[in-house]
Amino acid sequence: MATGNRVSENYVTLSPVVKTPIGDTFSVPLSHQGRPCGFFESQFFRCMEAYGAKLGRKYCDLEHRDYQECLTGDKQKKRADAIACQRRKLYMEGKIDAPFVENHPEPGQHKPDYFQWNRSN
Amino acid sequence: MPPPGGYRQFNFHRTFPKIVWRPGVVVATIFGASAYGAYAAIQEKKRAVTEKFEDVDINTALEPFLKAERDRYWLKLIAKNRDLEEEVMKDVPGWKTGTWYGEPVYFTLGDKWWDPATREVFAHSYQFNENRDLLWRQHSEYAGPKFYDNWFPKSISKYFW
Repeated sequence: MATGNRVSENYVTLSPVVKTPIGDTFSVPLSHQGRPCGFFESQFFRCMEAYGAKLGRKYCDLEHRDYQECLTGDKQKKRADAIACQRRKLYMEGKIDAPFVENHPEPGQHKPDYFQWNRSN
Repeated sequence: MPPPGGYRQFNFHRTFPKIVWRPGVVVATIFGASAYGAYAAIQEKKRAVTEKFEDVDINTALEPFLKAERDRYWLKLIAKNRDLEEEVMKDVPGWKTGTWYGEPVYFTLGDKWWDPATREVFAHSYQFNENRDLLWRQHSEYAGPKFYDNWFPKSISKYFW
Protein backbone atom coordinates (compact mmCIF):
# COMPACT_ATOMS: atom_id res chain seq x y z
CA MET A 1 0.00 0.00 0.00
CA ALA A 2 1.18 3.46 -0.83
CA THR A 3 2.03 5.56 2.19
CA GLY A 4 1.63 8.79 0.27
CA ASN A 5 4.88 10.16 1.77
CA ARG A 6 3.21 11.80 4.72
CA VAL A 7 4.62 15.10 6.02
CA SER A 8 5.19 14.70 9.74
CA GLU A 9 4.19 18.16 10.90
CA ASN A 10 0.63 17.90 9.67
CA TYR A 11 -1.68 15.44 8.06
CA VAL A 12 -0.61 16.18 4.51
CA THR A 13 0.62 13.65 2.00
CA LEU A 14 2.68 14.47 -1.05
CA SER A 15 0.82 11.96 -3.17
CA PRO A 16 -2.60 10.42 -2.67
CA VAL A 17 -2.68 7.49 -0.27
CA VAL A 18 -5.30 5.67 -2.28
CA LYS A 19 -5.24 6.19 -6.01
CA THR A 20 -8.63 6.12 -7.65
CA PRO A 21 -9.74 7.02 -11.17
CA ILE A 22 -11.40 10.22 -9.93
CA GLY A 23 -8.57 11.11 -7.54
CA ASP A 24 -6.98 13.57 -9.95
CA THR A 25 -10.35 15.20 -10.54
CA PHE A 26 -10.90 15.84 -6.86
CA SER A 27 -7.31 16.78 -6.04
CA VAL A 28 -7.49 20.11 -7.86
CA PRO A 29 -10.39 21.67 -5.90
CA LEU A 30 -8.95 20.14 -2.73
CA SER A 31 -5.67 21.97 -3.31
CA HIS A 32 -5.10 25.65 -2.60
CA GLN A 33 -4.61 26.67 -6.20
CA GLY A 34 -6.55 29.82 -6.92
CA ARG A 35 -6.74 30.71 -3.24
CA PRO A 36 -4.51 33.09 -1.28
CA CYS A 37 -2.04 30.36 -0.28
CA GLY A 38 -1.80 28.73 -3.70
CA PHE A 39 1.50 30.47 -4.35
CA PHE A 40 3.16 28.93 -1.29
CA GLU A 41 1.63 25.56 -2.01
CA SER A 42 3.04 25.49 -5.52
CA GLN A 43 6.42 26.69 -4.26
CA PHE A 44 6.48 23.88 -1.72
CA PHE A 45 5.47 21.21 -4.17
CA ARG A 46 7.91 22.49 -6.78
CA CYS A 47 10.66 22.18 -4.23
CA MET A 48 9.52 18.71 -3.21
CA GLU A 49 9.44 17.72 -6.84
CA ALA A 50 13.00 18.93 -7.28
CA TYR A 51 14.50 17.26 -4.19
CA GLY A 52 12.26 14.26 -3.81
CA ALA A 53 10.24 13.15 -0.85
CA LYS A 54 13.18 12.28 1.42
CA LEU A 55 15.70 15.05 0.70
CA GLY A 56 12.86 17.55 0.40
CA ARG A 57 12.06 17.02 4.07
CA LYS A 58 15.33 18.81 4.75
CA TYR A 59 15.72 21.20 1.87
CA CYS A 60 12.09 22.32 1.54
CA ASP A 61 11.62 23.05 5.22
CA LEU A 62 11.42 26.80 4.72
CA GLU A 63 8.92 26.46 1.89
CA HIS A 64 6.87 24.21 4.11
CA ARG A 65 7.05 26.69 6.96
CA ASP A 66 5.94 29.50 4.68
CA TYR A 67 3.07 27.42 3.41
CA GLN A 68 1.97 26.63 6.95
CA GLU A 69 2.34 30.26 7.96
CA CYS A 70 0.16 31.33 5.07
CA LEU A 71 -2.46 28.73 5.96
CA THR A 72 -2.57 29.32 9.71
CA GLY A 73 -1.11 32.81 10.16
CA ASP A 74 0.29 31.66 13.51
CA LYS A 75 3.39 33.82 13.44
CA GLN A 76 1.42 36.89 12.46
CA LYS A 77 -1.08 36.19 15.23
CA LYS A 78 1.77 35.89 17.72
CA ARG A 79 3.23 39.13 16.46
CA ALA A 80 -0.09 40.93 16.75
CA ASP A 81 -0.66 39.55 20.24
CA ALA A 82 2.82 40.61 21.31
CA ILE A 83 2.22 44.12 20.02
CA ALA A 84 -1.18 44.28 21.73
CA CYS A 85 0.30 43.04 25.00
CA GLN A 86 3.07 45.60 24.80
CA ARG A 87 0.55 48.34 24.12
CA ARG A 88 -1.53 47.33 27.14
CA LYS A 89 1.61 47.15 29.26
CA LEU A 90 2.73 50.61 28.18
CA TYR A 91 -0.75 51.92 28.89
CA MET A 92 -0.75 50.41 32.39
CA GLU A 93 2.64 51.98 33.00
CA GLY A 94 1.23 55.30 31.84
CA LYS A 95 3.62 55.72 28.92
CA ILE A 96 0.88 56.05 26.32
CA ASP A 97 -2.50 57.73 26.66
CA ALA A 98 -4.66 55.01 25.18
CA PRO A 99 -3.91 51.30 24.83
CA PHE A 100 -4.76 51.29 21.14
CA VAL A 101 -5.08 53.75 18.30
CA GLU A 102 -8.52 55.22 17.96
CA ASN A 103 -10.30 54.39 14.68
CA HIS A 104 -6.96 53.38 13.24
CA PRO A 105 -7.60 51.64 9.94
CA GLU A 106 -10.48 53.78 8.87
CA PRO A 107 -13.32 51.91 7.19
CA GLY A 108 -12.38 50.77 3.70
CA GLN A 109 -8.61 51.10 4.13
CA HIS A 110 -7.98 47.45 4.95
CA LYS A 111 -7.94 46.04 1.45
CA PRO A 112 -5.35 43.30 1.00
CA ASP A 113 -5.07 41.86 -2.49
CA TYR A 114 -3.43 38.48 -2.21
CA PHE A 115 -4.16 37.58 -5.81
CA GLN A 116 -2.18 40.47 -7.14
CA TRP A 117 0.92 38.71 -5.74
CA ASN A 118 -0.40 35.20 -6.10
CA ARG A 119 1.67 34.16 -9.09
CA SER A 120 3.78 31.06 -9.15
CA ASN A 121 6.41 32.49 -11.44
CA MET B 1 -110.83 58.08 -16.01
CA PRO B 2 -108.04 58.46 -18.62
CA PRO B 3 -106.19 61.76 -18.68
CA PRO B 4 -107.23 64.23 -21.31
CA GLY B 5 -105.77 63.21 -24.68
CA GLY B 6 -105.65 59.59 -23.55
CA TYR B 7 -102.80 57.43 -22.20
CA ARG B 8 -99.44 57.51 -23.96
CA GLN B 9 -98.64 54.76 -26.37
CA PHE B 10 -97.58 51.47 -24.76
CA ASN B 11 -94.11 50.25 -25.86
CA PHE B 12 -94.60 46.63 -26.68
CA HIS B 13 -91.14 46.16 -28.37
CA ARG B 14 -88.30 44.25 -26.77
CA THR B 15 -85.96 46.65 -24.94
CA PHE B 16 -82.15 46.39 -24.65
CA PRO B 17 -79.86 48.14 -22.17
CA LYS B 18 -77.81 50.96 -23.58
CA ILE B 19 -74.36 49.83 -24.78
CA VAL B 20 -71.79 51.89 -22.84
CA TRP B 21 -68.64 50.04 -23.96
CA ARG B 22 -68.95 49.62 -27.64
CA PRO B 23 -66.93 46.64 -28.91
CA GLY B 24 -65.08 48.68 -31.45
CA VAL B 25 -63.99 51.21 -28.82
CA VAL B 26 -62.99 48.51 -26.34
CA VAL B 27 -60.92 46.57 -28.88
CA ALA B 28 -59.28 49.73 -30.11
CA THR B 29 -58.48 50.86 -26.56
CA ILE B 30 -56.95 47.51 -25.62
CA PHE B 31 -54.87 47.37 -28.75
CA GLY B 32 -53.80 50.95 -28.32
CA ALA B 33 -52.84 50.51 -24.68
CA SER B 34 -50.94 47.31 -25.47
CA ALA B 35 -49.10 48.94 -28.31
CA TYR B 36 -48.17 51.91 -26.16
CA GLY B 37 -47.17 49.61 -23.30
CA ALA B 38 -44.93 47.55 -25.56
CA TYR B 39 -43.37 50.69 -26.97
CA ALA B 40 -42.82 52.12 -23.50
CA ALA B 41 -41.34 48.85 -22.23
CA ILE B 42 -38.94 48.65 -25.16
CA GLN B 43 -37.89 52.25 -24.64
CA GLU B 44 -37.42 51.61 -20.93
CA LYS B 45 -35.31 48.56 -21.63
CA LYS B 46 -33.18 50.52 -24.07
CA ARG B 47 -32.77 53.24 -21.47
CA ALA B 48 -31.81 50.73 -18.78
CA VAL B 49 -29.32 49.02 -21.07
CA THR B 50 -27.77 52.35 -21.96
CA GLU B 51 -27.53 53.36 -18.31
CA LYS B 52 -25.93 50.04 -17.38
CA PHE B 53 -23.52 50.40 -20.26
CA GLU B 54 -22.57 53.87 -19.08
CA ASP B 55 -22.08 52.65 -15.53
CA VAL B 56 -19.87 49.78 -16.63
CA ASP B 57 -18.00 52.04 -19.02
CA ILE B 58 -17.34 54.63 -16.33
CA ASN B 59 -16.29 51.93 -13.89
CA THR B 60 -13.90 50.47 -16.47
CA ALA B 61 -12.44 53.88 -17.20
CA LEU B 62 -12.05 54.65 -13.50
CA GLU B 63 -10.65 51.28 -12.48
CA PRO B 64 -6.96 52.23 -12.66
CA PHE B 65 -7.61 55.29 -10.53
CA LEU B 66 -9.77 53.41 -8.04
CA LYS B 67 -7.14 50.70 -7.77
CA ALA B 68 -4.38 53.26 -7.40
CA GLU B 69 -6.33 55.00 -4.68
CA ARG B 70 -6.98 51.71 -2.90
CA ASP B 71 -3.32 50.70 -3.13
CA ARG B 72 -2.26 54.11 -1.89
CA TYR B 73 -4.52 53.89 1.16
CA TRP B 74 -3.33 50.34 1.78
CA LEU B 75 0.36 51.23 1.55
CA LYS B 76 -0.08 54.24 3.80
CA LEU B 77 -1.84 52.04 6.31
CA ILE B 78 0.95 49.47 6.24
CA ALA B 79 3.59 52.16 6.59
CA LYS B 80 1.76 53.70 9.52
CA ASN B 81 1.52 50.28 11.15
CA ARG B 82 5.25 49.82 10.75
CA ASP B 83 5.95 53.20 12.34
CA LEU B 84 3.57 52.41 15.20
CA GLU B 85 5.25 49.06 15.74
CA GLU B 86 8.70 50.63 15.80
CA GLU B 87 7.47 53.20 18.28
CA VAL B 88 5.74 50.69 20.57
CA MET B 89 8.22 47.83 20.48
CA LYS B 90 11.43 49.83 20.75
CA ASP B 91 11.92 48.77 24.39
CA VAL B 92 11.32 45.07 23.78
CA PRO B 93 14.67 43.28 23.70
CA GLY B 94 15.35 41.30 20.56
CA TRP B 95 12.37 42.66 18.67
CA LYS B 96 12.86 43.58 15.04
CA THR B 97 10.08 45.39 13.25
CA GLY B 98 8.21 43.24 10.76
CA THR B 99 9.52 39.99 12.25
CA TRP B 100 8.90 37.70 15.18
CA TYR B 101 11.95 38.52 17.32
CA GLY B 102 14.12 38.57 14.22
CA GLU B 103 12.50 35.60 12.54
CA PRO B 104 10.83 36.73 9.32
CA VAL B 105 7.19 35.90 8.78
CA TYR B 106 7.97 34.36 5.38
CA PHE B 107 11.42 32.93 4.73
CA THR B 108 11.48 32.31 1.00
CA LEU B 109 9.78 35.41 -0.38
CA GLY B 110 12.96 37.40 -1.00
CA ASP B 111 12.01 40.69 -2.62
CA LYS B 112 8.48 39.55 -3.36
CA TRP B 113 5.80 41.49 -1.55
CA TRP B 114 3.12 39.69 0.41
CA ASP B 115 0.23 41.39 2.15
CA PRO B 116 0.00 40.87 5.91
CA ALA B 117 -2.90 38.96 7.41
CA THR B 118 -5.91 40.79 8.82
CA ARG B 119 -4.96 40.11 12.42
CA GLU B 120 -1.58 41.71 11.94
CA VAL B 121 -3.03 44.79 10.27
CA PHE B 122 -5.32 45.32 13.25
CA ALA B 123 -2.61 44.79 15.86
CA HIS B 124 -2.79 48.43 16.94
CA SER B 125 -6.57 48.65 16.90
CA TYR B 126 -9.32 47.99 19.37
CA GLN B 127 -11.13 44.71 18.98
CA PHE B 128 -14.39 46.38 18.00
CA ASN B 129 -12.49 48.19 15.24
CA GLU B 130 -11.43 44.86 13.81
CA ASN B 131 -14.90 43.43 14.22
CA ARG B 132 -16.35 46.39 12.39
CA ASP B 133 -14.19 45.64 9.38
CA LEU B 134 -14.73 41.90 9.52
CA LEU B 135 -18.50 42.30 9.82
CA TRP B 136 -18.67 45.10 7.30
CA ARG B 137 -20.93 43.08 5.04
CA GLN B 138 -23.47 42.93 7.86
CA HIS B 139 -23.50 46.69 8.10
CA SER B 140 -26.73 48.44 7.37
CA GLU B 141 -26.70 50.56 4.27
CA TYR B 142 -26.16 53.75 6.19
CA ALA B 143 -23.06 53.71 8.37
CA GLY B 144 -22.72 57.40 9.16
CA PRO B 145 -23.62 59.19 12.38
CA LYS B 146 -27.00 58.16 13.78
CA PHE B 147 -29.57 60.29 15.54
CA TYR B 148 -29.21 58.16 18.69
CA ASP B 149 -25.43 58.51 18.88
CA ASN B 150 -25.56 60.93 21.78
CA TRP B 151 -28.08 58.89 23.70
CA PHE B 152 -25.61 56.17 24.70
CA PRO B 153 -22.06 56.40 26.02
CA LYS B 154 -19.31 55.34 23.64
CA SER B 155 -18.49 52.27 25.74
CA ILE B 156 -21.92 50.86 24.92
CA SER B 157 -22.67 52.28 21.51
CA LYS B 158 -19.53 50.88 19.92
CA TYR B 159 -21.07 47.42 20.10
CA PHE B 160 -24.01 48.24 17.88
CA TRP B 161 -23.99 50.29 14.76
